[in-house]
Amino acid sequence: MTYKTSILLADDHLLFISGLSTLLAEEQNNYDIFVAHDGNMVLQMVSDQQPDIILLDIGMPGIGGMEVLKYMNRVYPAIKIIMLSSYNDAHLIEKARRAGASGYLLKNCSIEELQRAIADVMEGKLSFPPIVHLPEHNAYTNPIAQQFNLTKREIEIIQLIKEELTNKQIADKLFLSLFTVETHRKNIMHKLKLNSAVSLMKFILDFKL
Amino acid sequence: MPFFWKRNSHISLLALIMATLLPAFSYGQKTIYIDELKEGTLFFMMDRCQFAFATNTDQPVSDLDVEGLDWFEVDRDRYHNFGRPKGKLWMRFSVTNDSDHETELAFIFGNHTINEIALYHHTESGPQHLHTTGSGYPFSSRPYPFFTYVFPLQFDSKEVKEYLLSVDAKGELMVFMPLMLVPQQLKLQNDRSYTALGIFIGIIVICGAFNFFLFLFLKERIHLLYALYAIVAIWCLTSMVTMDFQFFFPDHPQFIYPSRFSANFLYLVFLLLIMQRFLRQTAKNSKMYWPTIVFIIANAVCFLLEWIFGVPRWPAAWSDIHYSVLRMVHFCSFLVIFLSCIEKIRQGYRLAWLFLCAVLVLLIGGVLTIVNTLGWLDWHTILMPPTPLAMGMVIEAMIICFGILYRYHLLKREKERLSLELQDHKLTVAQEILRVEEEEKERFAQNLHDDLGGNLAALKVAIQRLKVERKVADHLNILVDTTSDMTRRIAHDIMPPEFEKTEFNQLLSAYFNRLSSTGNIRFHFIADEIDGYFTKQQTLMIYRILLELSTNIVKHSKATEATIQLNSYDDYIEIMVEDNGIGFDLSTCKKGMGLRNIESRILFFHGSHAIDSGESGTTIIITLPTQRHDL
Repeated sequence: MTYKTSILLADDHLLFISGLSTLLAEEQNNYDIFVAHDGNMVLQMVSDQQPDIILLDIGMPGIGGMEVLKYMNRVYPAIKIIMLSSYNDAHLIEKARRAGASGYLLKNCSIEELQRAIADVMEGKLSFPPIVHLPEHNAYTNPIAQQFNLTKREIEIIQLIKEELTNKQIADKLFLSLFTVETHRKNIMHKLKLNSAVSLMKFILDFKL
Repeated sequence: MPFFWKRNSHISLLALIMATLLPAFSYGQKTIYIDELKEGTLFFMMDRCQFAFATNTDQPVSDLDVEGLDWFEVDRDRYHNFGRPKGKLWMRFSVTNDSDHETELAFIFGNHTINEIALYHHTESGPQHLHTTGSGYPFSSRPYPFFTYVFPLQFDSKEVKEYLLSVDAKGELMVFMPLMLVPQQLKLQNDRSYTALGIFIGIIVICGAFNFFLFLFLKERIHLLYALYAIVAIWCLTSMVTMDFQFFFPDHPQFIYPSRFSANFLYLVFLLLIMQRFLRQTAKNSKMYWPTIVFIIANAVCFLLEWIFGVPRWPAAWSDIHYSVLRMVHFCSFLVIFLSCIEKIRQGYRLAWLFLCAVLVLLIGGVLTIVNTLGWLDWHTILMPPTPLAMGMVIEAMIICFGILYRYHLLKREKERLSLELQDHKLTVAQEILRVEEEEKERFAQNLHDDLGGNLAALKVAIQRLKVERKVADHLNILVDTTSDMTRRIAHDIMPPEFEKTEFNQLLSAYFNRLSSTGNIRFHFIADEIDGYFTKQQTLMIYRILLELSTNIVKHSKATEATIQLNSYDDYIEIMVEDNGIGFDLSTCKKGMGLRNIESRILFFHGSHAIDSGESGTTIIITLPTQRHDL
């Protein structure tokens, strides 16, 4: 007798979940499949069935997927959980990972992806979609700019302030309105936590901006 | 020593001697000694005169038997009320110049409206005519150019003169105050009267002109009414002492009476009109509305009647009726004003006090005048300005002017309050609409995600179960995938999943990350922590604003880089969105749907925004005031 992986499917969308359970059952006969429609049911079935793995929808009514995940992680740390979601938002994936999920699957994944994820997780691996990591936003060469969250434009304006240009002159030079330059200037002072033109000059000189 | 008998002239021995020396018709104990005049400023001489009513008015003076008249005396020295004589009143007095030099004196009759007044020097050979003037004569007939009748009297040294005065005041109430003064005193009195009147007129002119300009600027009728009222008040002031005659129509004495009476009626017309507006009296809120209207019309009709029938004088037979009607209309008009003010005060309209005070001041002036002429009080100032009535009128005008300005101030404040309220209300309605719209959107997103998204996921599962050709399956898969992608994006943009439970900046940062990775524009996102400043709904709106702005950049700007900043200040959040794109023309794009959406959302926050678009791209700065919700 081969060991059957018991899987608990939790999703409030009946069409989806019945389709999914049938699909899983058809594809591979070594799955024991249970179905839950909301968070409460999941909690109940977990204690009855002790599944190996739970495919947990994030957006369930009542007790949501994330809460169930946190609870399971605390009470039944042995049960693997794969989050199901229609969103591939980085912040959701990150949240799931941090809350102790073993995997994160998009609902419109293919059956192969699903099977691979289940297999990976059963083997103790993590299965998360790749997150696009862009280089740092503020990848300016200037470390001071990075430290104080200064934008390119602000650095530009600081340079012009250093050249002792007035707001009006800066505005003309950069094709900006006076108000825009004034706002930039105000923001610079705010970011650098300075309160006078003199202190700004001193800052510029001190940090050799 | 003349001083002795000056005081006790009737028992003075010298006086008796003098009496024997004087002509038989002179009544020595009553004579006025010129020396007496220097003691006081004005010498009231009523009790030094004798009076007689002429039975036969048409009798020529030369035929008059002076001694044969029924002479009587009056024991008051100032005002005396002789009633309404049917014929002429004769008056006589004697003056003794006990000094060694020639002297001049001025005799003032003390009533400015007498039909005819003639002065005679009463000699042994009979009355010798000196001057005739009166309200039937042009101003040039006055022996001395003053608004009241002044007769210069000349005396040789040690001369005793007796004067005879014939006064025709048929139909008029004969109240007067004869007095004598030295020429310097006359000059003083003259200057005082004209200066006082000048000052009064000046004050009213200023108030009137001020209101006229207010009318030009504000277009409020009450100011125009006041300006007209001021003109009529000036007319009243001058006609009261017949100065209108002196300065404006000196050759047309027939207008003296109509001018005087009609001015008063017109004055009341304007006073009532102003009152009505001042008290905001309407048919709905006041029982006095119709009485006021009635008396406005009554006064206006009387005004016209004065000109139609009163030129040059009312027929003597109508005089009594004329005066009764006049008095009644005046009295009732003031009663209407009084009651209207009381009514408004009782309704809680505080400004009515001001109007009541103003009118009371005028009434006090009027009552003082009446009391004086009735002889209950002895104020000689009622003869020449500043008279109590004139003062009352000026003070009234000033109080009403002040009242109107104050009222304007109050109205303006109330108007401002109302418009603010209206604005507030409009804003509330707009906010409510926006709120409902947002809720609807959220529900929509929820449904989209839950139902449609779920069905699509189920569809995807179902497709995988289909035993079809690989090619067909792939095609179906792609279709389902793109459809669910689109659905997800729509729902996502309306409200990202787990919105409330996710840090706002993390959400945004993920969003801009994705935007950068999918397009040609690099989005830089720099943000201060703003969680806690806004409600969930407000945060959602900020999210939408940012989405709208970044979508605009993606769609229209042709930029390569964009910076989105959220800067948190003490009492506001500043959103600054910059791109290095081609910019846009504010005048043509301003009404674009996207910007309008943003504007209405900014309005929701009571915020403001500035758009700076040009060669170096577009900068949009949005300021949203904050109230911390945890405070």
